[in-house]
Amino acid sequence: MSEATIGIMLALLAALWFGSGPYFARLGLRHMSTPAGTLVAMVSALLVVGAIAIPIHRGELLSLPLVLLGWLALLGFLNYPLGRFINFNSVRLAGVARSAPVLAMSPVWAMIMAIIFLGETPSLLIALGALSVVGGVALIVREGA
Amino acid sequence: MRLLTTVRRRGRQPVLLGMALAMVASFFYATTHVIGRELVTGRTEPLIVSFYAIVFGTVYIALLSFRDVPKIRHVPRRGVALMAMAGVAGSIGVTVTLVALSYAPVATITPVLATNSLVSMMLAHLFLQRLEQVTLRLWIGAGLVVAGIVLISVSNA
Repeated sequence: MSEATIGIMLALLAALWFGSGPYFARLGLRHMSTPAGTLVAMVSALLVVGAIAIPIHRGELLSLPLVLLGWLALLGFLNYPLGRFINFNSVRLAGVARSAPVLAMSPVWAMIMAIIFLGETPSLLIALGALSVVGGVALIVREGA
Repeated sequence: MRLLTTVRRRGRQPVLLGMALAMVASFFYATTHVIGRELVTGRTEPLIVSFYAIVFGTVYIALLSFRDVPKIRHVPRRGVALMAMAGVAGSIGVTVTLVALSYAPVATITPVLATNSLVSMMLAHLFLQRLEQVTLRLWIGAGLVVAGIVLISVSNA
């Protein structure tokens, strides 16, 4: 089995887990505010991932270079306060069915950044893909309105 | 930040705001995929990246939400359990994504990850019918988004 195939199978597994998170958040946020709910979610995640990571990588966890720790701090900031907290707010306001497909459009952002900052010219396939994404989001927004 | 925590439901405005926020969140998730790929290819292990990202993320969120912590005591256990499950599901997703990125590039992984929106919608359709209606238009919209992402990623591969 090639590495790409393994990566795709793992990504499918990740998609199943990612897909169920907003469903639980939608139900949980009916009982508490988004900041409190996000904190509960983060502490639970820390306990579970820590229980797996600490026994396996005990020595390496305490010997990371400072530069790498800096990147990990940035990653944590982008993914959780900026990503997940805003994501939970979107689920609370718009619901799972409307926010989930819009949330999936991250490759479009990567394409836009490549055009603006790297001067890349999108191919016909990319342009068609972007149109499809924009059309899909427009349908969802119209349904929400 | 106060806007995000105190908006009340008034007609369609919260729904549109929610979808705008989803777009903003997707932008930040896009940057984490790129940084994550860079970190897990040759620098360190995916589980270490996931663990430290969650550690830092928990600290940031705790700073944002310390005023709401006393209120958690009065929340029903069911609510706490559901948010705990949301957190665990998301973090397992992040960890498995990082492992996937150590095997294949972002352009290969991203379209597969995009199918998570279809999983969310299926769960909403099956179990959240009292709260949300998943219409045919939403399914078509989600399908177009996933198809578009596949096209973009295939052309980048």
